[in-house]
Amino acid sequence: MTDKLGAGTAQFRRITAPAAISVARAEAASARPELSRLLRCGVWDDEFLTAAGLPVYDSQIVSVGGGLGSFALVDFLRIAGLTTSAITVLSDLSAPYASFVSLARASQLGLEDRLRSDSSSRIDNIWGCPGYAVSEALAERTPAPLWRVLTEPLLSEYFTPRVRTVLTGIEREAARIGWGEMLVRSRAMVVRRRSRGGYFVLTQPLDDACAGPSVYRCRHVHLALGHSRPRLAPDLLAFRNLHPGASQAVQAYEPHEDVYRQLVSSPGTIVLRGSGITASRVLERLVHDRDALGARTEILHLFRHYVRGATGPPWFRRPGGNGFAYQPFSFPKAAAGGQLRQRTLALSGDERADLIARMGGTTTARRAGWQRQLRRGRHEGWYLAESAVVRDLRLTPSGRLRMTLARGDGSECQVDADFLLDATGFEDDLRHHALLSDLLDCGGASTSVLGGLDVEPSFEVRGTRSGAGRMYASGIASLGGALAPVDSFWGLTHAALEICDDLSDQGMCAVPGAFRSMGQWWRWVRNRQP
Amino acid sequence: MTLTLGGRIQTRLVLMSSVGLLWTLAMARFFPRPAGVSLRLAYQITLGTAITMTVFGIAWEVVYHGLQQLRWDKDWPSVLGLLAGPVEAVPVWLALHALGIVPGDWGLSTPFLMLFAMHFSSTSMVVWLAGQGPLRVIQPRWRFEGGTFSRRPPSLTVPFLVTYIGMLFVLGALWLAGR
Repeated sequence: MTDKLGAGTAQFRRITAPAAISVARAEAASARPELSRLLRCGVWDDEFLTAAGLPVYDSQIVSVGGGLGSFALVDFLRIAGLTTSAITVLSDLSAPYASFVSLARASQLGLEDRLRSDSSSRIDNIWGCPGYAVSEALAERTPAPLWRVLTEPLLSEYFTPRVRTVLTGIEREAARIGWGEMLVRSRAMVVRRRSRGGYFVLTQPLDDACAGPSVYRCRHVHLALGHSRPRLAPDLLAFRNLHPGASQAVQAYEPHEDVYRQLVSSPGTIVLRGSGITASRVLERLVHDRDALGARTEILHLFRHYVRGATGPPWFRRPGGNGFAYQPFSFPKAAAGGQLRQRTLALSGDERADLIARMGGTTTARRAGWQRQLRRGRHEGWYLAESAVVRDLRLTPSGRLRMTLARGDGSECQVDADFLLDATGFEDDLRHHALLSDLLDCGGASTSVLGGLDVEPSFEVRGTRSGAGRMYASGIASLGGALAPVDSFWGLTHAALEICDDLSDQGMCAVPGAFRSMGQWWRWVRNRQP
Repeated sequence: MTLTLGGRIQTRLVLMSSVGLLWTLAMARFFPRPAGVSLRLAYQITLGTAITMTVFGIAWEVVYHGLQQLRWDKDWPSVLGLLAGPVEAVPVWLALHALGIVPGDWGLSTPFLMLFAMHFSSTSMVVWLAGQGPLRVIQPRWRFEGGTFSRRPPSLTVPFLVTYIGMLFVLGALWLAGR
């Protein structure tokens, strides 16, 4: 399993300058001049493509992305009765979990570490039954996960699955639904409406170096492209432009294993920025290296918004303290399928955006182990938390970092450190993604208040309908829609359910009603094809 | 579990009129009953208990929904669903005596207590278990829609049949038991 995970794993590269948003289009146009004429048109005709000499392939539905968002939808569609020949997945990933594994590794999660997701949010099982806790109890031959899921969160912390459990499930389900038969290794460049209804997806095949661009003609298209890149704060970007090649300031989702190695080999000071789950995991790693490998690292933790305690009215009060806002998952559980989901569904525009922002934001889980670590750090003096932002960042002649901090109380101070680790998440501006940027320019799509694509509750992208064809988006690109936790296992599965329902209304597949659902679940249990 | 108030009530009605009812009909004869008490009376008591559990349960769900508002996650941990059984049992026991369904004194010394306790606890457990897994398989949308049964027509068939035919069964069984 480990070897397979290594192959095809996507990895965010080091960022040195803003991504060119039209790279894909420019590449395509330069490679085939006739494409530039096509790319100037918002709606394509079959004859245009014939004239351009592009090979055209047909598929009923195309899912662009090939990560967990595509996997969740394809799983649902297969269970709803679609055959593999009706579905095409366009992806540069060799496995649906490749990006996920990459992100997990970058945020210090090994195969045995636990995610921030609950037992029933199974990405490989549309029913959430049995939950990950049951699978883990069976695989590890211990009742401990069952006890934990039974007593969560009152007598124990929420059960969260191991990375290995999740990957094993995805691998099994991908084989069961015939993922490999539907996957076309290629880079999707643009999606355009077809004059007779439906869509064209222009792609560049990846496995054949000599092959030119080709086009997929489909009735419906689904976009699940994931995060475009880690967020790079302006000060970090300026620092990199000033000191190209300097590795002292890194983003937590970029490869930075060297930072930990150097801190183990010689004592040093690290400044950590961010208060989310990734920052918590970085802290766990740093403390682990102190305890297990003898590192003498001193940690200065910077909070832009320092949370001193629980916030909000009694009926909507989020726990917090020591700088962090705490919640077990990225959103309150009811934002996924309960009363908060119903509220999100009923609201629109600014009110919905405000509710999503109040439920989400930067938070971490309050885990007893992490609390103990930081309590010890504060007591022994090697962990210091400050409410401050970095005003200025540069290198000293000796090669250390010197930064000016602007504290929450208005004062400023200078700090020297060996490393700056920025754990402030991802860049979610759609304009940083070539295909989505093109969609905003030429496809009729627009953005929601929170910056995602403006989507219907069915996850159809507003303004992009093409005859009988519909375009859907799930994952982080649908942020701001009627479902808050879109970037989670639950969110991807929930989006898949809504899309599947909408497609069934178009007569494309069968709604998995009670009897079909039971039959399909039994097939899942026996690991038989849908 | 993340249930809305409507979802809580619908879920209780559907589970009690399906799993709860079938369990009662199938198992009533096996629960320990006092010497000399007829099977007919045992059925009257257990079916009466099941119906009272369902009716009182609607009120309990309103209370639980209120308590749920104090939780940030606005969810209802599974273990609370399990622990609710003993809390709900007392009013049902008192109501069964007040309605004359269980004869005699309502104190702990009454010979019907064991029959009631066995039936109530086992029914609560079976209904709770059904909500933890099987219901998600039969109605995949249930957990995504706050415990309500889907607005989509094809999915309404099963809960409709279960709820209303189940209720007819209850009335029929009660009528037979009372003859």
